[in-house]
Amino acid sequence: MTSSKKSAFFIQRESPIALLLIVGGSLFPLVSDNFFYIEVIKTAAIYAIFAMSWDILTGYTHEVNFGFAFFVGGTGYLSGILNTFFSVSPFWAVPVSALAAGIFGIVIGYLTLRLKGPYFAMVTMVFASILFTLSFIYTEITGGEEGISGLETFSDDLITDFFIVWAVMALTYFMLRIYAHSKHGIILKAIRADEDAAKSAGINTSYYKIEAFALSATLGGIGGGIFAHSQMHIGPTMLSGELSIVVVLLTMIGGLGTIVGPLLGAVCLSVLNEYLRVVEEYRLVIYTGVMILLIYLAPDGLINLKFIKNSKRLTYLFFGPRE
Amino acid sequence: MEILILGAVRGALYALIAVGYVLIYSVGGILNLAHGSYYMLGAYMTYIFYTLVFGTGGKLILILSSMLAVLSVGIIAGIVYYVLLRPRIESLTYVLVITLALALFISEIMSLFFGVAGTSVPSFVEGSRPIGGIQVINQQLLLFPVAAVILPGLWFFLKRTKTGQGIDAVAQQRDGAVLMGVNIVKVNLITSGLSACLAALAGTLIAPVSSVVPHMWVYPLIKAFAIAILGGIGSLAGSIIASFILGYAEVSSSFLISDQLTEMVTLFIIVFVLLFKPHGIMGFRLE
Repeated sequence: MTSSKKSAFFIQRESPIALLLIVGGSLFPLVSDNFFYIEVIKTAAIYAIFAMSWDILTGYTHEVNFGFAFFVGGTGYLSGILNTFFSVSPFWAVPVSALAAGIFGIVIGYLTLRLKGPYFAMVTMVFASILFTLSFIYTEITGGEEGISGLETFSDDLITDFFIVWAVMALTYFMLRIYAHSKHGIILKAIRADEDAAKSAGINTSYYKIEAFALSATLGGIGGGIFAHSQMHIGPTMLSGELSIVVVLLTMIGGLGTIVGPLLGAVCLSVLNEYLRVVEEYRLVIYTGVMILLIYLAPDGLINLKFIKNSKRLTYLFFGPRE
Repeated sequence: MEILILGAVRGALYALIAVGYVLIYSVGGILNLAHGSYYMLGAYMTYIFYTLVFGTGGKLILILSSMLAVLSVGIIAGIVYYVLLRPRIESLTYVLVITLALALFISEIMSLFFGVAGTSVPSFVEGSRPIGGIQVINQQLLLFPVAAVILPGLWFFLKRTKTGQGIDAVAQQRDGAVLMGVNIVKVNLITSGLSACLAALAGTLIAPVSSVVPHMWVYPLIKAFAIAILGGIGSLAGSIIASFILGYAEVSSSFLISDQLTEMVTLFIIVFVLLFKPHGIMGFRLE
């Protein structure tokens, strides 16, 4: 009785537009059987996983992680290697590799999170470039520029694959929302507001930051592993700085520290990106140009725009009832 | 001997890039992730002016077009500062993200117009000469005198002219400088332009001997950061020393161990310095 009440309460607390997007998206394959569109939405969902899991660290603590590709690509490679060389099923390879990414997250977080602001941002970027360079040095394992091809997919059916990706995306969303609303999320917000004050209140701030970093790494890793297996290919582009930048941009445009914002931002912009393939030549120029423009016009993210904040109805629509 | 000369050449190149990077960080507090792009633009603009605007011409035209390239990059950087960065200069996250997005944007534009395969620019000085038993390309050797003129010139500008002293004052103590009537927007504008000019100069000098490709902005950026970290962010002298240390470290590792490891040297330097001596060799604690 109480548990059902609690869960109902929990759903009511969610942002209506995010729920609508998650449910609506999952119904898409029933409406259309155009493989191209399904593929587009699947990619958008994967980018949403990246953006949301990046947001849990940076949005909530303002420690900018510019090396997210380390975890995404690293997990992709690890899972790909496990799959091709040791023929581990993707259902095992992805979680195991993501766990490894989480452990790396703890180690790297322990080493780097005491650095402040720009130092942290750059050193995470450097960790990603170390991995990127390594992928070109150990070509017999990583395949160099070509990457590793022929990874197993989760299932033979594209639509089942889509549902798996979408389910993971929805799970990530709910998990992160619960985490953000829990004591841990509130402590992270306190760290964002004033780390010294949080420390003097007796909070072990580095513990919580490392925890958030590891969580972000694990979830990003799951996204990366799924991406690699659904594309059946993992290459150095997944480790490159561009991927890290795109994740950062998607989250910033959506709205830092909201989880809903990155979800919406990532889905909308990834769909835009695929839509721009009609003008393939100019696609990346237009895409990055639009991103710069959006950040310039709405530096706090689209979801934090004034007119949304000022209207009660829109706030409810985007954020759900504020506690 | 090879190591000695090639290391010096590389050190001079890095010094030109890194000094601007350190300057704009210590003055404006701007961690400019588009710094590598200014270096790249220096190379591309030289190509644009030389091949597309002037058609082809003699050496004089080439030098003229490289000067125009450096100038135009300085102007672009000024515009970028004034339009994109100035409104939200206090937000570190915003500055990092928008400069990085800009870097990506510029590299995409260049690959759109000139293709991913890249272009090339003819040398300012042809040929190579033997020094101590090895052949050194003259164009690379040119870097050294240029750096030897520009860097003391920069020092003179900062310490002896009125504008330069204003810039120096802002770097030392921003609030104090504002109270003394230094116009901070103007100072930041000049510094942005200046730092971009230095990067573009390095780019235009190196363009003939390296391939001009849309992805050439990545490594200078990482190197500039490594040097800034090693030298201590905020210290120009430290950054020049660190440039030569990095130059020699890279060249010797590529000769003694393996060519592939040169890129890793930079990355490991950053990680180790940050983890064990975060304020660098000449740095001081920044709050």
